[in-house]
Amino acid sequence: MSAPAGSGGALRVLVVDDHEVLRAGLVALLGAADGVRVVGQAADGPSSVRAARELRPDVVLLDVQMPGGDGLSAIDRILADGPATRVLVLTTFDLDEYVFRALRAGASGFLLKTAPPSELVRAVRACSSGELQLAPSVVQRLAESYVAHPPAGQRPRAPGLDALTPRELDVLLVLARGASNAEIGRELHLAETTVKSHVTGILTKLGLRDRVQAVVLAHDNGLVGR
Amino acid sequence: MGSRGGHALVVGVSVAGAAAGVALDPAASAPWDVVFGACLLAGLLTLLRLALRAGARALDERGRARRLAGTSAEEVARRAVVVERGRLAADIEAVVRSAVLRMTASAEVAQRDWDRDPRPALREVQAEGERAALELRRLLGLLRESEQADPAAVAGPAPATALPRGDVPLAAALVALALAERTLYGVQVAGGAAGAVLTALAAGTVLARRARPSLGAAACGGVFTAGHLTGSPVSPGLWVLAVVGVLAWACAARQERLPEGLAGVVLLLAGTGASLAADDPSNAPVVVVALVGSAAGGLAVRGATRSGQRARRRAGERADQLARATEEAVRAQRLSVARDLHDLVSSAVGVVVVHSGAAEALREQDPAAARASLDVVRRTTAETLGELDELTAVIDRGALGSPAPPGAVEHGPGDVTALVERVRGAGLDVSLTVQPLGPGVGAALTTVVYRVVQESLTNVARHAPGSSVAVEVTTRPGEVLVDVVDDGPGRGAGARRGYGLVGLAERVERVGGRLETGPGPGGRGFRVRARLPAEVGA
Repeated sequence: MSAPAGSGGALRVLVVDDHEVLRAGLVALLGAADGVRVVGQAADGPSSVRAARELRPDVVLLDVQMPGGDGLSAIDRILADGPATRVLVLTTFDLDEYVFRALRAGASGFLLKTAPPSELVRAVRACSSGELQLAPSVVQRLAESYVAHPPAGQRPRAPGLDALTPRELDVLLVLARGASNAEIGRELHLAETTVKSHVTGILTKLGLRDRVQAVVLAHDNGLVGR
Repeated sequence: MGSRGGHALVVGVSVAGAAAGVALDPAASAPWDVVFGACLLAGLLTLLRLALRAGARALDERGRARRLAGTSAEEVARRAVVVERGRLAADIEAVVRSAVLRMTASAEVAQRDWDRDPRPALREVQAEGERAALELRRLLGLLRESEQADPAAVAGPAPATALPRGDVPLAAALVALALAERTLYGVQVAGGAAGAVLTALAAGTVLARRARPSLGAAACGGVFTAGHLTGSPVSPGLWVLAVVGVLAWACAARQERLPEGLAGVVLLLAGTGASLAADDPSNAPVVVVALVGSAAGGLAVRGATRSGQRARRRAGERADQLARATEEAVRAQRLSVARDLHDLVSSAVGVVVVHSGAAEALREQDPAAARASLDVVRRTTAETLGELDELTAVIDRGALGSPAPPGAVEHGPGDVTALVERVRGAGLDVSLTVQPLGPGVGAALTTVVYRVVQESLTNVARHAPGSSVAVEVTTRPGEVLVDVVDDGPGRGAGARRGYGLVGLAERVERVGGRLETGPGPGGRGFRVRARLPAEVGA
């Protein structure tokens, strides 16, 4: 993480929401939290892309349902410009189709606008360290979203997949159902630390930012029963 | 006329008629002739009654088909939308508005306690906001959900069995009667064991009366002919009249294709007529008269039944058409309300939760900013409440001409009457019987009663346009029973699900009750029945 000098190692956050009052609330809330610094704000997709390019935030807190629907396309470009940046999607309802499209576009997780404030801060931190998980119910709906909207065209199989060891593939398949490391360990009779190193190996070989994207990749490549 | 009363009347009239005949002409009458005459008369009257019943049913069906044909699709759709809007307003009121109301109240508490400790109230606002978002999502999801077939509704009526129940006992009784009569008239009967077997066989052919009537008739005629040709004739008796009458009737009324039915009648007539003319000339004319009379009656019933079926098919098609038009209109209405609701409430709830969090977090380090956030919370809840009231007022005014009284979340039994009145005003044919619920029934239960009636009527307006509905609220020891029955096309015309019945079942179960849905009495129409446990005051 390349936090510029002067930020005191605090997590740098860009807040993007078209609703001004809500955005102000988020900024105030995050600003009050220790170790988090709001470095910028934006009200639409294009300006969020510009701001991200300029500010290089660790986390972009992004409302995908902004008018014009440009939140989704912004994800792609933000991630292309700054591979180290993670996008945390803000939404009113957790099982919205928007959420799944955002995850498939590369978002590292999502957060409800009605989540308790402590949860908001926790999620921003977890997101920056790649530890966010998807609840099994969300993973299930993600799978359904693949059925409803199959990936456009026949995508090439993710190249790293063939480099995975059989054990890593096992871990990936369980992980793709939304299981935590402890749950994966129980199911595959592995120690949690072993699972953790497998997950790290998987992410490295597949070139992924975090486990949420590992879940998405597994679905994208049809590894999970459809 | 009740079926049992009808039978009694037939028997009574027959006995009286036969007795009168004997009284008029005592010289020619033996006791046997009285019995014979009574049976004959009873048979004729039964035929007449069946024919009249079939005619009445056909008239009924034709009336319904005419009524539906005369119903305008726009009008039906308009009515359904009217009823739907009423329900939407009530839903928003019960689900969303009450949540926003609680948030408003907690925000006021936070304001009051600002200098002491507003944190519990602020957390309450956040928790309420979370709950409101959940409820809102459920409501919006249900509103947007496309109608799906109810898997339970797919099961059609059980297929007809090859040998309908009731035919076996009838055949057995007639075989027994034939053999008994054979013994009774023993002196005059020729043919020995072969004759007895043929007699039993001839009587047994009624077994086919529903499954294969023409085949049964042909077989019966064949057995009579065989008896005549082999010199072991089928023995005479009242049973012949019964068997011949039943088969001729069945051929004419029931045989799938008319030519086959008529062929059955002709074969029956030829077989029995020719044999009897040779073996039992004195009884032959009566048998022929019974046979031809039954066939004529059967033909009349056939005509009536077929015309009734055609009318029912027409009515069903029209009802489907109306239901589709209604579906479309209601769906558009729901989507538009969902859109309004989402615009109005979704982001407001987010704002309220985030700012109450900010107020809580900033209170120590930046009191002015915290204060500003609390103001945002209070302003937003108040505005949302006002906008919600405006929305429900518009929805409900559009529907029923007057806005719902503000804050009217609980519904008493009097409201059911008012509801039915309003729905009648919208053009639905509803009859209502309400027993007073008594003092032991709480507000929660009365609300559920109201919702059951409301939901069911909405359902009728949408899925069974042009039908009439009976609403009944009865109290029994320990329970309240809500029954809503319509005489519409039932399950057949589209699935009767809607977001209504699913949500309604949840509501009913929440108060410990049970919701049953299915065909109405006699397998016609649709019935919604809720059993709600209640400590009903004596």
